[in-house]
Amino acid sequence: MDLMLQDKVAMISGGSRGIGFHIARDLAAEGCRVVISARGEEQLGRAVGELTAGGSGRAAGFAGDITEKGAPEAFLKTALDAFGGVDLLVNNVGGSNPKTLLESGDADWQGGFAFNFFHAVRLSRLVIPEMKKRGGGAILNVSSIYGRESRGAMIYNASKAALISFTKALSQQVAKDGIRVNSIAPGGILFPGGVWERRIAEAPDGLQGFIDAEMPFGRFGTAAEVSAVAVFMLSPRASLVHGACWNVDGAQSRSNI
Amino acid sequence: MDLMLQDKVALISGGSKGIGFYIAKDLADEGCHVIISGRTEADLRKAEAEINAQGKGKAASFCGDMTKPEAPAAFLKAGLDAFGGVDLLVNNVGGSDPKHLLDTDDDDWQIAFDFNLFHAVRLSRLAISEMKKRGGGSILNIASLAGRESGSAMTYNASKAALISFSKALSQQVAKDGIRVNTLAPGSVFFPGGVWERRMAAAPDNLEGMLKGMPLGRFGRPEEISSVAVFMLSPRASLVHGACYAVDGSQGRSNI
Repeated sequence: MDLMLQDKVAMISGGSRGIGFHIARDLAAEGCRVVISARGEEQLGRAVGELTAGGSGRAAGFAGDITEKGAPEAFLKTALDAFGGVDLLVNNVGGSNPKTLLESGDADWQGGFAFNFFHAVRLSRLVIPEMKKRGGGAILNVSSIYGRESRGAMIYNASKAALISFTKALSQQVAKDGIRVNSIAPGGILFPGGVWERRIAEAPDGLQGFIDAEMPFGRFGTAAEVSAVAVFMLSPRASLVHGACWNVDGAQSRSNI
Repeated sequence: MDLMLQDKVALISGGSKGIGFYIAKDLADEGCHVIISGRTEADLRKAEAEINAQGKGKAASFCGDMTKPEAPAAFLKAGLDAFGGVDLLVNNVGGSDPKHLLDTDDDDWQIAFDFNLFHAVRLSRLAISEMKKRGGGSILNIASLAGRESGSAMTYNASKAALISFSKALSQQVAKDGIRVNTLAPGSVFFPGGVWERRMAAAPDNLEGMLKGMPLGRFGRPEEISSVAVFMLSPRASLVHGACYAVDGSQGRSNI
């Protein structure tokens, strides 16, 4: 299937490893120019190097913490300087904090929403005018099955649910501009340096009980399996996919929809 | 993106026009051999010829009413006779009846569930055994936005919701066999001979009011459904299982 992504410019926050890196890699394979952000310069450099392995200069990197003030603007500027515009935005940065309500202070909640939500609001607000200049675009917010239903950490649940709600509301606002907005909700995804690698190492049973109980395929998902869906959703072949939240979880979640 | 569908065999019920036809055509374009069912011989012939004219995957057809209890087995047999096995099943037959509860009798409810659910249950039960012989497969049930949320004909809502529930439960049962099961929930899709063509003709305002309320301001097109369907059926969607994907241009109200 020709995904019609040749020469599109894509920004991916948190794109140096895991799901974000795979999305960047697979978009580049479809002919996109990609700009990734990451906090660690070294890992960022390695990722950009891998993305430009073809030697065509089709990837750029921005080193910075996207949750900090000014970072979304600087990330966008990197993309505009490198490739002259933006067509696709993937808000991928996020993470979990296991505290319960009584353990958590206001700073934990603020931090959780900064990590999972507010950077996506800011980057979307900044990037939409750039997409309008090019006649349209697509935004994909990487949420979680734990934004769709209850399980796991409370702050993560609430902030990923907010991201899904934001996605739906934004889809209604920008439909007239030819900009599609969707979210993707992965289940448990195992990749080097990811949260599940650490949790498996820490669990006495290597999480086998969790896998048996929660995962119909009897395994974690891979980052490549999430990126295949992400790339399709971002492509013009998904022209009627708008305001949707697609789970990619091997039936791990319980919701029927 | 290579969808890795070359030489797979797909059964598509209700495949002579509209969404089902486009799914069959686009699967064949990826190299699948497809068998479509329909109630009208002439429509089937035309569809089959159009798919074969692409010069990629081959098409065969089965004429029969999928809601009749014996039809699924006969359809499957036609698929096996034509192509020797089954890898993919698309349960696409369905339709709506606008009656309210007090206007319906038990027969209306039975007919709605026959039309939207039971043929999918029967065909899945039959096709899974064949898929196991080939080491796995993929089932896609075509539900509706109306199965995800309220706002359509009552019997349609309930039977499409049941189809979505069935898909999720089945996904848990057959995961170990390498068979993926999903649903796709289209919004309002316009095509010649479809329900929206008829409704548009019958509406004093040509449904302009309804279209203004839809974020994209237009109906969906069957090829916009089939692109998603073909992706979901493909091995590239290996982690897409037990999912119900809305393809509705944000027409639905649900956040998920």
